[in-house]
Amino acid sequence: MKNFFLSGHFKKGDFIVFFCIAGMVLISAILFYRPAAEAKQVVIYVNSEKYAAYQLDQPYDKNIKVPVNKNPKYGYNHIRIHDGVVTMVESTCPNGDCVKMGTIREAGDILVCLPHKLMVRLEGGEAVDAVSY
Amino acid sequence: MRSPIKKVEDKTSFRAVLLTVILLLSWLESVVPLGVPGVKFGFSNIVILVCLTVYGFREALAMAILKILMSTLLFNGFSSFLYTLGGTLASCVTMAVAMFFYEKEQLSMIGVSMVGGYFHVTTQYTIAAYTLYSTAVFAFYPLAALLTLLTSSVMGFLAKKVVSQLTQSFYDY
Repeated sequence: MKNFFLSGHFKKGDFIVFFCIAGMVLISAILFYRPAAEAKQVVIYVNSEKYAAYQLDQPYDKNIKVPVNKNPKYGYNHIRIHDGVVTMVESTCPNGDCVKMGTIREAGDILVCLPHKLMVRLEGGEAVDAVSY
Repeated sequence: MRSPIKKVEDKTSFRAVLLTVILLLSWLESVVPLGVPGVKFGFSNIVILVCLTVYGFREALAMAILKILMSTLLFNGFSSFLYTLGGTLASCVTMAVAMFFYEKEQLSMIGVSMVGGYFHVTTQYTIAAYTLYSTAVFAFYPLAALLTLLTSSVMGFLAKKVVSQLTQSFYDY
């Protein structure tokens, strides 16, 4: 059997394209790299504004329903904070990508629901008591 | 490169077939998840690539726009319209530029597909970052781009197979 890579499926330009893109991806990986840090608080953003913040290092099991656009009739995202991790339990958005994103536990990790313009982010730094806006 | 397929160019029905296939494939890719947010298999890119080789840029762009309109109405909902639109248009235009090198035989279909996939995922992440006013989404970007490189090269390989089959079957049509 002939080698797949040498059997005429590829042209010279393919390898150039591949290595250019792989190089750019590597550069972006280095640029966006952040060392793992301990998360202190959970911040929920709606429409790129701070909606609510909760302390993470508490032994509570908190269920939050965030209404879309601050109006429950457009749907909601159900977020659960427990044992130092955050999970998107349920969402009324059409594709449900945010629920598939699973559980986050480290500072800088995010859960995003693009149709609802919602972002849940774990942040390090100074912890605050539960503040609702 | 394009001469054997010239006869297909007159067939309007063939465009309708391509549009049906692209809708079926975009349903398929909306159902099959890949784990990383923002990454799909990109089966519908096969049809765009076939369109680019058989018809050229204008037809492929029309096919892409029709696909966006119909698949957002049917499967995705208009909340994701902006991401789909940006990603598909960016990949379509960059692949048309890459087709220039394809016709000079410097690139194969796989390279063209990789270019399209890369610009698709980059545009989608940029639009997502812009709507959320946060660069935090880029945390997933390197993984997503690498995965896209992989899937788009597979799709390019499949598109190459489709084009060679079409060339053979329409040669003495």
